[in-house]
Amino acid sequence: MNKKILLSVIVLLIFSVSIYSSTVKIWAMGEEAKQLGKIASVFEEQNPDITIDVQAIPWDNAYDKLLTGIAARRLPDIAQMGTTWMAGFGAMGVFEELTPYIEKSDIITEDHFFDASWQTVSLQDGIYGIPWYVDIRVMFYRTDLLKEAGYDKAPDNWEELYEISKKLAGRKGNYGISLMTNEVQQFFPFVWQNGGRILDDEGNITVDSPEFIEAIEYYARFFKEDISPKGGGGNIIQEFASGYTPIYFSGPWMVSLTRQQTPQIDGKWDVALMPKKESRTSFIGGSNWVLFKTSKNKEDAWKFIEFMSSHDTQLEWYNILASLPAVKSVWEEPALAEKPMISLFGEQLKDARAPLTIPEYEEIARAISRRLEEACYGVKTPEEAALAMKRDIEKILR
Amino acid sequence: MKRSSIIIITFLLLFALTLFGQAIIRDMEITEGINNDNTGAKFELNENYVYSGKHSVKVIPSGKAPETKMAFELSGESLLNWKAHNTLELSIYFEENLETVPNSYFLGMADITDGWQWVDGVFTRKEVENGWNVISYKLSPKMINVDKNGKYMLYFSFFLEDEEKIPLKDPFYVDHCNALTPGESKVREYIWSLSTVEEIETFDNDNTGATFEFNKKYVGSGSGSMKVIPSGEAVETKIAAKIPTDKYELWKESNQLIMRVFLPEEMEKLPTQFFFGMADLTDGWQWVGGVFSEIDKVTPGWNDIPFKLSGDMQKLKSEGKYKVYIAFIGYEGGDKAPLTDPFYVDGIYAITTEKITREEKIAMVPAQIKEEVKKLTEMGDDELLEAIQEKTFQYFWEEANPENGLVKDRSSDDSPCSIAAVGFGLSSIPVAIESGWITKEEGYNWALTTLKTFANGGVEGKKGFYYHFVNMETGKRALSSEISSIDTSLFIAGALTVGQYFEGTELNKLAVELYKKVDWRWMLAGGNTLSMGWKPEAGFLGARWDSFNEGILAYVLAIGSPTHLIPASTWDNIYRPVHDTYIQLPQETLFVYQYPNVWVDFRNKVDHYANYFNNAAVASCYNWLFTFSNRFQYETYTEDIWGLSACDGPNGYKAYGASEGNHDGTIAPYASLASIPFTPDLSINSLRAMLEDQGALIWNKYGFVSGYNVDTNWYSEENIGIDQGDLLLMIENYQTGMIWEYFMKVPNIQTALRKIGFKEKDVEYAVTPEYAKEFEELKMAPSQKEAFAKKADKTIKIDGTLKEWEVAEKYVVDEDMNVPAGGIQIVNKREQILHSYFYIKWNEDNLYIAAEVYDEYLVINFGPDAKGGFYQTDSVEFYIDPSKAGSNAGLLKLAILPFDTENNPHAARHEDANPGPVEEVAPDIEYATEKTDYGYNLEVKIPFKYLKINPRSGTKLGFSYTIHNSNKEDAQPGQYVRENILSWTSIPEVWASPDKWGTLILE
Repeated sequence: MNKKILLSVIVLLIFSVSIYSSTVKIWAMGEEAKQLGKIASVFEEQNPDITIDVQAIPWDNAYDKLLTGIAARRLPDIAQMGTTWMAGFGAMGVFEELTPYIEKSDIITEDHFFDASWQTVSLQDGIYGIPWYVDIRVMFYRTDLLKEAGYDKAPDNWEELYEISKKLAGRKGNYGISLMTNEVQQFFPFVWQNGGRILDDEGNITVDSPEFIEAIEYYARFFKEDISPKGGGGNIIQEFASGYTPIYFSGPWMVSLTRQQTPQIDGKWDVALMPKKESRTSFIGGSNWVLFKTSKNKEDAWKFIEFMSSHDTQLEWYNILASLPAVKSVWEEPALAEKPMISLFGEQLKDARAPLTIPEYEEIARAISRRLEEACYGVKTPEEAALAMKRDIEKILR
Repeated sequence: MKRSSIIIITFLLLFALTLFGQAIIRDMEITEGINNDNTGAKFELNENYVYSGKHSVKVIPSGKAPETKMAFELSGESLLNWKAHNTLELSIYFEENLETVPNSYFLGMADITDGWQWVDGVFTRKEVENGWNVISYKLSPKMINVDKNGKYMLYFSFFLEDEEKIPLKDPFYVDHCNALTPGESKVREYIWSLSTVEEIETFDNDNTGATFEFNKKYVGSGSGSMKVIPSGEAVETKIAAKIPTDKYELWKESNQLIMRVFLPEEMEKLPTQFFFGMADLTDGWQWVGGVFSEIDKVTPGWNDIPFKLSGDMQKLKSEGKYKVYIAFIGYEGGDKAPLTDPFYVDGIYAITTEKITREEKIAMVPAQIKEEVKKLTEMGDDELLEAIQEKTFQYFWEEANPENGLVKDRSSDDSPCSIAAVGFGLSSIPVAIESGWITKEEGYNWALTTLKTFANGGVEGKKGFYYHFVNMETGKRALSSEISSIDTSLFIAGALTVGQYFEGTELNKLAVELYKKVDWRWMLAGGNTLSMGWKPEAGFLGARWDSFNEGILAYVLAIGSPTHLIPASTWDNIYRPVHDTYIQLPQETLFVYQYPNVWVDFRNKVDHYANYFNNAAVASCYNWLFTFSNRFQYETYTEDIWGLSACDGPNGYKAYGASEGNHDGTIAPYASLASIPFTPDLSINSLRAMLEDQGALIWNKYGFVSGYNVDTNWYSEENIGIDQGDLLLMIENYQTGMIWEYFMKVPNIQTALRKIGFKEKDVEYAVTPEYAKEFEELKMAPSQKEAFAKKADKTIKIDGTLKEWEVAEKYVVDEDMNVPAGGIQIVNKREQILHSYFYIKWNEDNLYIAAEVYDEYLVINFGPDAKGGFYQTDSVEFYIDPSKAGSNAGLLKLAILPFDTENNPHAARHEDANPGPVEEVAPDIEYATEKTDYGYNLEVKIPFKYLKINPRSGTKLGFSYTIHNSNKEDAQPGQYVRENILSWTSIPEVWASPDKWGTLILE
């Protein structure tokens, strides 16, 4: 075949595809964007008349990219949406409300997913997304160093966490735990574990409740007593491996990263559930799918969301990227259930909470983070910090 | 008196006035010159009840006249003070249990410059209390607009009206007649007014034995004062009290407090020294600081004792507790001696700008404005828009000089003319005629007068261009402004529009003549883009219209010029950065997108780059989304109210925009409204919400004011000509397309658009797909960069001094090389210095890098235990990708913190093949830094063994260099404070994109 003919065949092929098929455009971020193609090809096989076009959006630019897309009404059909961004973008009125789709769906129902995960798609007046994957914080700890200090299991409750990390901090030049002075995702679990909340059911601000204040006090104590470094942000994996900070809280991605980057501590670390106070509540994050109102291809786009939510795809996706399935049934699969570290994440998912799903959330989190930092630095007492948080939040919610 | 002493006295007087920030109209220290306007009242000086100074004036009514009056002349200095303000205040004291207390207060004014002529009067009713009261007269425009060389009489009338007027019998006291502008003028605010028994009981004597009594004989504020009876034994007499917590805010803002003290004539020994001390009682007792009053001399009677608060004394924590101690010290023969006689303290106050609440401001708005706003809110869209246009038009009609047609830049009295405002005004004439606000003849004559002024040399300029600002009467250059290319363009656009409306007339000809006169080629200033302007002192300005902004209007006119045209290729010399979906002005100042669209009908037209109408639509929507996203941070922004653009703000006129670091909660009402052709729904929502929520405060005789800020409770009272024009004309385009219609009929405009390459095309996008692709490539161009490293001929000592590098080739990272990223601001070139030169050399074993970092403010907030995360504060990073040289060593990314809090540098490998502090993971890397007057220097040695390569001449490595910057002066230890990122390869996520780094070539 000479070149010209080949070319015209290709042109014809492209032409015919464009007549008979539709394209679902997707924006995805980070690693997900890189790997999504693998699973999308399975979908394309099953749906030969639909083409999936994935555009990778760097996380760092994602917020602005969404804004400029909305401004120009040039958006994809669907997008990956971080759980904490749902309410903010939702308020701009750009997401399709999905109840009518869900009612017709054989795959997607509320109880298909973890409760805490479903919370993140339920905004004030409807369902504006479908959970994709979750992440959840647990405790990472060095089994060997704890043993040296005289403990043969992970700290089980607040008291033990304080006691053990304090003891570990006694090792010269090292600390006992790594916390961040201004990271609300690390801090909120302590609030929840103590029965505290930012807002109660009636919407009253409760950051000055005794439970909340006690959580600030407990958290700040790690910095005041030099149990956790204040300097923040070194390389957590390296510092974990060197023993500089033998306990920290983080998500599932750290499991594989630790194995890859610091093989020297294989077998010397483990994960454990969050420490118990009244509960062991942890922070749930992750990403959802959203369908844009501007989409001209909603049916096919929804089909893809359904595909991504099926038991099999969720399992497959776990195999590809090891990100945690939002679909409950997948956790019974041996690939997850029989791996102790992973199944622990599943266990923790049963006691997890998503932060507020109101548009003001990001701003409230910023205010809390700022005041929390002041408490950690000792600029404010926990009570003062809590009162300042309350004032800030009152202003935000005005 | 010698001249120099007069000057000194004048200076002192002025100083005193600014110090107290009040424009005294009459201080009531003498009774001469006060008359009763035939009401029989008598006037006496009094020293018991004194609001300021040594005396007040006691007014003794006749007991017969229905109104008691006081009159005095207003001229000279006091008239100047009068003119600058809109409110007159008079303090009045009433004793207890009076039979007749006035409830009505009238202030009248007559012009006596030449005879006697009534000016105007204002009336206020007030139920007064015992003690000191302030009567506030809101002056009418007629009363404010006085001739500064004239002479006037003020008539104060006091009366009691209860169905009929009851003659006053009881004397009262008046003091401190002063003019001010609420919210702007400095006023007294009391920390302690010492007017009640309860307040006096909060004072103790700090063990000096003094006793305190409530007293009503001498009163400077409220209805009582504190009598201090010294023990006669303690060498210092003291009063002490806790600072009331509700006064903390006031306290923190005040650097001086003033204590009013009455020292009776009969005192044997006067206190001559006053000490003000302060302690922190939050947690135990801790001394904060103290000051002696700087007062020179006290005399019997009332005295103002000032205390300057030093730094620490102003820093109150909201949760803290504080106590002040004031000592009164007398001397005898050079030694401290106990005071023996009582004296009176009445009030300790700060001088601040009076805080008036939003509600108070609303209460002060004239009823007629409120009524007008209410009517507007009840109108349908079309009627509403037209009502706004008509009101807005009044600006051009009333703020123009009818003699020459020049229009004021802004509504303030002393504003010069802005030639841009003239252009907007001319364009509004057809609208006014068609709407029936003026007759065709009026409009024609006005426009003709204006154009004749320009054509006959009545406006100073050069080569057909004019000065940006000129005098309203003479047309001569004002404010040292420049010969302005854009403002001349706006004027010409207006002239052509109105000329085209009157097609075939003298006016039309004159407009074309003015257009022909403009020598656009001269404005190229020897380059290939238009200069922004020219000044006689400096020649052409350095700045050019070389990136996307309102300047594209100037190019359309210049390329279409019938006489001095510039090549259409200049259009392509404009840099057009693409922000994902539209061409952007990075500052996102909204008017920039609007102005070209006021005249040029860009609908359904596409050039190589964009559809500029759609582009403005996207930018408008982005402007809304930006405030929407920030609405929890600023009360001014709501779901519906948006519009960030150039306008007056709490800190003056500013080119606000929808970008980080370029907004402060100030909304320009014109901005969202002028986007109405692009975003009708968003614009009307914004308009209605503004009227509903803020209406009374942002509406005046010319429609919307320039700007407002709810967060700082600041509302402009002025209107700006170009804002008025922008919104008026854009509403017209939205409704009838009239401005587009006439401007597009100008033949040369069509020629220009054709030459540029505009095609008729109905498209949905803003940026053409071709240009979007081109720009994407342009953006990636940094990855095509190359740097060359010479071989080092001698050893390089890593010590932070760069003397070995003097001859090395220099590479630059400058203020323009910003890495786009969330939460990161673009370097503000006007306010910041941030750039770096770097140098690279090599030998068989090592790669050497040196850099000079220019940074006007170095943040040092990481302690000596810092191990990583340096990017969170002032630091740099070098990225090396050895895979280009065939090595499998993986990336080496070296992060350097130039100084910790003990001034030592730190280095770490960060997010690369072997991360960690270099001491642990790459101990043979050496690094050093040195502070310099411009920032710092740094030097690094990286052994090639870490890159696993054997370097040769011609070896290529992937390379980049990134600077993280913060200017946060109160950075907490370890806090994440990064504000800017610059990079030699300034692409998004440069740190994680080795494929987009540049290339380092060993020579």
